[in-house]
Parts: sequence; structure tokens; C-alpha cells
Amino acid sequence: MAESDAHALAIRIAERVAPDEVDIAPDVLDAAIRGGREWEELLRQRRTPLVGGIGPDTTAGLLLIVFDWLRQNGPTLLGCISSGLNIILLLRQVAGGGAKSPEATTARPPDTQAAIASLEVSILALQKRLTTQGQSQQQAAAITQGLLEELEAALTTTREVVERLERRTPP
Amino acid sequence: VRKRGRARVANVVSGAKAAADEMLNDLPDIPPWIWIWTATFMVQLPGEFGKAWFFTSGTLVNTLIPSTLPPGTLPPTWHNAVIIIPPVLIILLPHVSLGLGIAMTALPWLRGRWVERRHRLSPLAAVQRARPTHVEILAFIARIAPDTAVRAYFANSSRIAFAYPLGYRCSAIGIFGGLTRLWHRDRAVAEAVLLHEAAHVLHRDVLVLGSGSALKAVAERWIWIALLLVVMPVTVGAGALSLANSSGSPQQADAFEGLRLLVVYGGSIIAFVVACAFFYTGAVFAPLIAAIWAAELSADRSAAARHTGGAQALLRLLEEEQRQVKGSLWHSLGSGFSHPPSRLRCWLLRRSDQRCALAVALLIFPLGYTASPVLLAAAMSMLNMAAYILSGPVAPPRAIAAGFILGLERIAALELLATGIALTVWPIIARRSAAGRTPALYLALGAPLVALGLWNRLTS
Repeated sequence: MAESDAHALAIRIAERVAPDEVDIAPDVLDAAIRGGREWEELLRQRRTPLVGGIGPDTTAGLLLIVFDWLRQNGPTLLGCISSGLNIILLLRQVAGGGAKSPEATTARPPDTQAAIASLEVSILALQKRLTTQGQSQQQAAAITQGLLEELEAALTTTREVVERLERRTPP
Repeated sequence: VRKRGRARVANVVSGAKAAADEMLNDLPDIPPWIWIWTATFMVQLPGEFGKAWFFTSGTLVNTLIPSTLPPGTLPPTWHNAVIIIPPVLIILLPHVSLGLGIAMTALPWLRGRWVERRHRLSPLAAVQRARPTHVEILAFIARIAPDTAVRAYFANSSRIAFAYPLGYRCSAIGIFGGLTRLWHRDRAVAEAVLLHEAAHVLHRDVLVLGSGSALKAVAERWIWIALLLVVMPVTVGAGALSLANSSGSPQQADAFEGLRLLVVYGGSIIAFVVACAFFYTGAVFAPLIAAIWAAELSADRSAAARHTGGAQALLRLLEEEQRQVKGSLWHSLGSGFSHPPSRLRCWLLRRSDQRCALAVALLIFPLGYTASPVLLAAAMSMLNMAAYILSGPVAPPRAIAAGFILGLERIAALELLATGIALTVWPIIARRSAAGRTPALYLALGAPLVALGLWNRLTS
């Protein structure tokens, strides 16, 4: 995968979930891939200003949350997609209160069903995290849908990005 | 050869004139208090360090030596030292941290490297993907602060921007992901932020603002420092003391005696800690905090003056910040060391073209500078109180009051005269800034301070 593919995906995700973060999307993705202490510090987001500085920016960075979710749940997501699950349908079911349709859960091996259940839980956790950062329920749902649609639309690139997030090899 | 020599000299002279001219153009309307404070602090540092040592070790040893206490109450053993030495360290800590902070500012390239490493800042050439927004930001910085380096770390979206030194004549503005987000959300606010940072560079206070970092570092760790240097040793020392007394005199070996000793000594030393934490540290740091606040207010005023709508843009940022962190004590404490309270900044920005706002901004530092001896007097009273609890006859309440009055009488001479003279002469030096247009205001504020200082010197 070319470097620009991963960055282009990051930018497309930013355009859907946080348009004001478009310019920093490649840098945030690279930091997520590097992981380690740097990523932990970014997630901590200290809110006290620096001497000689201005700020901090008091609104939360959404890309950090979104890429952190992808770091933790990328393999599960890929497993579900490759098993033929309709992610968007699953998302609608999660948004609708968690009632499972036969398409999402039946006629699949038990381990796939477990992966789907795990993905459902992680999607709910992502939405909760977004709402605690000041997003409304509708905004959180829209952000989640935008993210999953972009990931599904560029499946090859998504797979590469998820592998890099696991291996921690920046482009 | 002579002609060539003359031409070279003429070039150097014209270059120096141009540099001086540029410097005069950049002077702010608020005197560079942080430079004035740094200079006076450096001159006074050895003496102040000595005083701090005397203040702690002398008074404590005088208070705690066995001869001044009822026989057998405090044997001169290791737990005596355990009680005395750590509070001495905590009293010296503000001076040590400030000295280190100022030493770091004397080595700006070292500080620059440290700042870049800590915040993962790198030159924009190393940031591989320059997007249109980044190019726009760079062009804007080049226009408002020529010859200023720019370093970036865009992955961090919680920080916006800050200025720091790279050398004596070279500064940088560090920009973060928060700035590009702001650039998209509200371009005017982002530009006002950069103008504020450019003002720090142009006013040349980036070199010394770093001394405030030491204060911030100490303040952020204050609870742990107090626990390590005071609460733990006092508990151990007082516990050991009560045990020693119990074993030395079996008739007193009851729980109540041990508890009494623990309460008396623990209480006394805790009173001392309160004095140290709230008054002594405040006395040492109040002028620096006031100087940093004045530098920030000066940068705000500069941003408001250089950009149409700059005051309104900064107001929007500060009001948004106030809304987001409303009620957060941690944020108020953390930001209080590096910036004036947002409410004060907003109040001043709303009146940035009025003289009352300029007067308030001008008086921030003189107030902080003269508050220092008041806090020191309060600290000495607290220490006397601790001494009184320990050894009744040494410092009766009258002496405590006398100590406070004596401390108050020290307010004066140097602080009042220095700030008063600086205020009075500043319109002459910065005649091209707003100060040059309103010399009467500076005289009206500076003259009473000079008069008070002279009166104090003559009467004390």
C-alpha cells in the first residue's frame, strides 16, 4: 500500500467525522500507528495552558478517538467484514436498541457470532466515548456511520492500515 | 583601505541604527516587567538564598534546640534532624527552582531543544505533507513575525500554539493541530492567537518567560513535594519523639502523652507548612506571576491593536474556554501560574481602547511586586506562631504581631521605587507605542509609587 493511500483514507474519514481535522488526519494516523507513549500522551490531552502559549483548545479531537477505536477493534471489524456481515445494517441495529436481525446473527459460525457481538459492544463504547466528549447522540451515530462506511469502501487500504496499527509500522 | 574601513564602519552603524529603530517600533505599551524582575532577582538571588536559609534553619533550630524547651521534651537525636531538614529543603525549593528556571533562560538554545523534544516539535520541512492550510498559516506567520522559525506537531490537537526561544536573537512559534482546527472553525481567532504569540516574540519576552515553567513544574507537584518533605518526615519524627519520651519516662508512657506530643509537634510543624506553602512560596513567586501576567496582557493588547477585530476574536476564544472549563479548579490553578484569569483578560479586552484598561494592565506587576513583602510578613507570623506553640516564652503573641508589622515596613523602597521609576520613564523609551501618546497616565501611576517609596525609605 502506498503511503498516500493510508493518508487519503485518513483524510476521507476526517472529512466525514471531523471536517476541521482534515489537515491533521495523516499526522494523527501516523501517531496512532507509532503508538506507545506518544499515543498515550495524545489521548491524555492535558488541558492546562503552557507558559508563553495560548489555549489549550478545549474541544475534543475526534480523530484521536476514532483512530484509537480502530487500533483496538480493527481486527474484529475486518473479521466481521470478511465474513460477509453488512456493517451498516449492524450499525442501524445497534442504533435501534440492539435488536438483532437474523441476517446479522444467524447462519454464521459461533466464533463469527462472537466477533459480531464484540463489534456491537465496541461500537456502543465508541458512541458513548464520543458523547462524553460533547457530541450529541445523533452526532455520535453519524460519526460512527461515516467511519464505518469509509472503512468498508476502501477495504484493501483498511486492511493494510489495521495491520500497520497492529505491527506499529508507520508509512 | 581607509575608505573601505570607513564604509564598513558606516555599514555597521547603519545596521545598528536599523536594529535599534526596529526594536523601538516593537516596544509594547506595558513596560517589560519580566525583564526588570529577572534583573533584580538575579542581583538579589545570593542574598535571598541566604535569607531563606536563615529564615528556615536559623529560626527552626532556635525554636527546637533542647535548651529552649522543657527538659527532655525534644532530645537532640536523629528525629530532631528528620523534622528540621526537610522543611528547610521545602523553603529553599522556590529559590532553587527559580534559579534553575532563570539559568535555563540564559541558555536559550538548550531550552529550545528541550521544549522541542518535550512537545515533539519539528521543522516544517520534516513534516512531510504540507497542506494548503499549513501553507496559509506559514505565510501569515512570515507576515506578522518575520525571521521567526516555525515548528509543528500536528498530531496534537489539544494544543494551539506557543512561542519559545531558539537563541538570543532567534525565536520560534510552535504550532499544533489545535491551530489548524481553529483555522478552519474561526480564522479570525486563529490569526489573533498567532498575533498574540508574535507579540511575545517581538517584545522579546520569550527569552525569560521560561523561568515561569519552573514555577509551574513546582506548583503542579506541590502536593507530592509537601507529602515527601513535610508530612512524612513530621509524622515519622513526631512518632519517634513520642516513642522516645514514652520509653524514657515510664510514668508518662501512656497513649495520651504520645498523642499530645504528636498533636503539639505535628500541629506546630503543619502550621509552619501552611506558612511555607501559602505565604512564603507566594512571596517568592508573586512578582514572577505578576510579571508573566503583565507579559500576557501586553501580548493581548498587541494582538488587539494590530488586527481589526483582534480583541473580539481573542474574546471569543477566552469566552469559549471559560464555558468549556467552567468550575474546573485544576484548570484555574494550572492556568493561573501562566496566564491572568480569563475574566480579567476578557474585561480588559472589552475595554482595550480605554485608558482604564491600560491603567489596570500597568498596575498588575507593581501590585504583585509589592504584595511579596506582605506575604513574607504573613509567613514570618505563621512561623512565629509555630515557635510559640513549641516553646511558649520564645514568641508571645505580641511578638507575632510585631513581626508582621516589621515585615510590612519592609514593603517599599526597592519595589516601589523601581516600579514607579519604570512607569514614569517608559513613555520616553517607548515613545512610538501607545505609551508615547499617554505619558500623563504613566506619570499619574508612577509618581505616587515613587513618592511612597521615598517616604518609606526616609521614615524607616
